[in-house]
Amino acid sequence: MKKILGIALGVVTSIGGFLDVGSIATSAQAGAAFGYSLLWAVLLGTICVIFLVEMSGRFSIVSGHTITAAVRKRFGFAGFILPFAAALLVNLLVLASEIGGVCVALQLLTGIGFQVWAIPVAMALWLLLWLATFDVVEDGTALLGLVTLCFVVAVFKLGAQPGELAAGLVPSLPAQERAHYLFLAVSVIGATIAPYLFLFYSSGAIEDKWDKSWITANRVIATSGMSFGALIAMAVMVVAALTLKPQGIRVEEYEQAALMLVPALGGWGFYLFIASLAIACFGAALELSLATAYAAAQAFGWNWGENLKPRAAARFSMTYTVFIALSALIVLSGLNPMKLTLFSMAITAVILPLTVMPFLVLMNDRRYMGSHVNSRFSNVVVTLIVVLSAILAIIAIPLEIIGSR
Amino acid sequence: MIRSDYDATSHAGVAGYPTALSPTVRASALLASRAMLRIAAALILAAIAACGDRHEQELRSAASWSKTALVVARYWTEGQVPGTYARRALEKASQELAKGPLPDAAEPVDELRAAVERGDRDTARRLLQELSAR
Amino acid sequence: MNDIDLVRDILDTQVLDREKRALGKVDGVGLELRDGAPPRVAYLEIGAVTAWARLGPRFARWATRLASRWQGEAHPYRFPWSRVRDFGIDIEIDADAERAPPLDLERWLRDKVVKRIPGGQ
Repeated sequence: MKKILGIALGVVTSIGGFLDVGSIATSAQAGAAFGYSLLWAVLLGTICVIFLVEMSGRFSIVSGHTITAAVRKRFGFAGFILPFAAALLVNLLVLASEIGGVCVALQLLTGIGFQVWAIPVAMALWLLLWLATFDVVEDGTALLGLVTLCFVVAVFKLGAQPGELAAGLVPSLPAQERAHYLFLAVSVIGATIAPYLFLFYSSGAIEDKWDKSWITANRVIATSGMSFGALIAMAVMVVAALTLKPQGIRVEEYEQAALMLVPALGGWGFYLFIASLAIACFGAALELSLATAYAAAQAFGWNWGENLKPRAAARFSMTYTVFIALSALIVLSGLNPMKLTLFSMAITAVILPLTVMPFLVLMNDRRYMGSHVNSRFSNVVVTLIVVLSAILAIIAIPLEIIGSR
Repeated sequence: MIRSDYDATSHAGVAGYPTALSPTVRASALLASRAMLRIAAALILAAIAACGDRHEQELRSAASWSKTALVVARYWTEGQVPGTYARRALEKASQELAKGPLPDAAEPVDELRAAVERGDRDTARRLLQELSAR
Repeated sequence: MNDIDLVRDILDTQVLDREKRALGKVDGVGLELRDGAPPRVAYLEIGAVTAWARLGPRFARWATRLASRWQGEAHPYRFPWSRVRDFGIDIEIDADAERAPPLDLERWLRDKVVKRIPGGQ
C-alpha cells in the first residue's frame, strides 16, 4: 500500500514538475514557427530521459551510491572534475533562465520589468530552501505544477486532429529555415533531457532509502511520470501550433507566448499561462538549486540531506545560497530571458555526452550494478540520442548565431 | 612519492609508440582529412545560406510583430487580457517593428498603444477595423 | 582479508566517522616504500589540496597557496589504516567528525556565516 502511494506521488510530482522554462519556451517557439513538425524532438528527448531516469533510480537502488559520488569514485577526481565543472556552469545558466521565467511571468502580470523581480524571486527561492523542509516544498510546488495541465485541456478544446499530430512525431526537415529548425530541435531535446533531473532523482532514491523492492516501482514512476509530463510539453507545442502559427505570430518574446491559451480558455487563458510559467519555473529553480548543492556535497564528501537545517550542513547550504545569488546577478544583468533560455538549452545538448556517458559507463559496471547492468538496447538508445543531439547542437548553434545577428 | 592514482597497467603501452606511420594509418588519415574538408565545406555553405535567410527572417519577424500587436489589441478590446500587459506588449511590438525592415509599421501600433493607455476601447476597435481593411 | 584494490575501492570513497557523519572523501593514499619489501599503506588522506594536486603541478601550487592563506599551512588530514573499521560503499573510521580537521570549513561557515543569518540557528 505504501509503495502504491509512493508510486502515485512519484508519478504525480513528475508530471507536475516536468515543465520548466526550457520546455515552455522551446515548445512554444517550435509550435509557432513549425507547427507540429518538431513533436518528434520532444518524443526523442522523452524516450532518452525515461531511460536515464529509470537508470538513475536503478543505479542508486542497486549500488547504494548517488551518481555524482559514484562518478568520482569510478573515474577519480581528475576524471570527474571536467564533466562536473561543465554541468555546474550550464546549471548556472539554466537556473538564471528559470528565475528569469518567474520574473517574466511577474512582468506579464504587473507590467513591472523582469529585472526588478530578480532579487525578490531569488530571495523567495532561497528562503524556502533555508527555512522549510525540502520534501514539503518540492512536493508542494510539483502538485501546484499540475496547473500546467491547462495546456492539455486547451488541446482538447481546440480540437487537434490526432492524424496530423502523429505526422509530427516523425522527424522531417522543412523546406525553409532549416538552420532555425535544427536549432529549435536541439533546444527542445536539451530542454527535455535536463541532466539535473536524473541526478536529482538519484539523490532522492538514496534519501528515501529505496531498496531492491523498489526496482519495479522505480520503472513505473520513471516511465509514467516522464511520459505524462512529456504530453504536457507536447501540448504546449500543439497549442502554439493551433493558435499562434495560423495568426502568423512567432514566439520571439514571452509576450507573444502569453497569447496562446486565450483562444481556448478565454480571459482565464492569459492568467493560466502566467501561473504555469511562474510555478513551473519556480519549481524547477528549487530543484536545480538543490541538485547543484547535492552534486557538490556528493562530489566532495560533505554532509547532505533534504531536511537538514542549514547549521547542520553549512557547506551544502552555502553552496545553494551562492549559486542562487550568482544566477540572480545574471538575471539582473538584463540579458534577454528568452534568448538566455534557448541558448542554455542548446548548450545543455552540447555537453550531454560529457554528463551522460560517465553515467552510462557506471550503468554497465558490474561492480556497482551486479546483475542489474544495462541491456545493450538501453545503451544503444541512450548513446545514439545523446551523441546525435550533441553533433546537431554543435552544427546548429553557430548557424543560429550567424543567422540571427 | 608515488602519485596515489598511478595505474601501472594503463601506462604499459605508451613506450611502444610507432615512429613510422604504417600505410593503413596514412590511408585512414587521408580519408579522415577528406571527410573533415567535406564537413567544413558543408558548414560554410550552410552558413552562407543562413546569411541569405536573414533578410527573409527579418521580414517574418516584422510580420509576426504586426500580427502580435493586432491580436493583443483585439484581445484587450474583448476584455481577455489586462491593460497593463497590452500596453507593454504593444510597446515591445512597436520597438521591434521600428528596428526592422518596415519601421513605418510601428506607427499604427503606437496609436493602438495610446488608445490602450487611455482605456479607449472604441478608438482601438476602430483602428483595428481600419488596419484589417488594408 | 583478501586483496583490496586501492584505486578502485579506497580512493575517492566517502569517509564516515563513528556516528556515520560525513568526513570527506579519500583524496589521497600515502604509501610507505620499504627496501626489500613491497610498499605498504602508510595512511589515507583527506584534503582538498591533495585532491586538486592530482590534476597536475599547476593545480597543486595554486591549491597549496589558497590553503596556506586560509589555514596558515596546508595540512591534509591523515589517518592510518588501523583506524578503518569497515569499508564497502563508504569507509567508516574511528574518529569524531565534530573535532576532525576536514570539517574546519564546515564549522567556520556554521559559526561565522550560517548562525549569523536568520533561521540558521
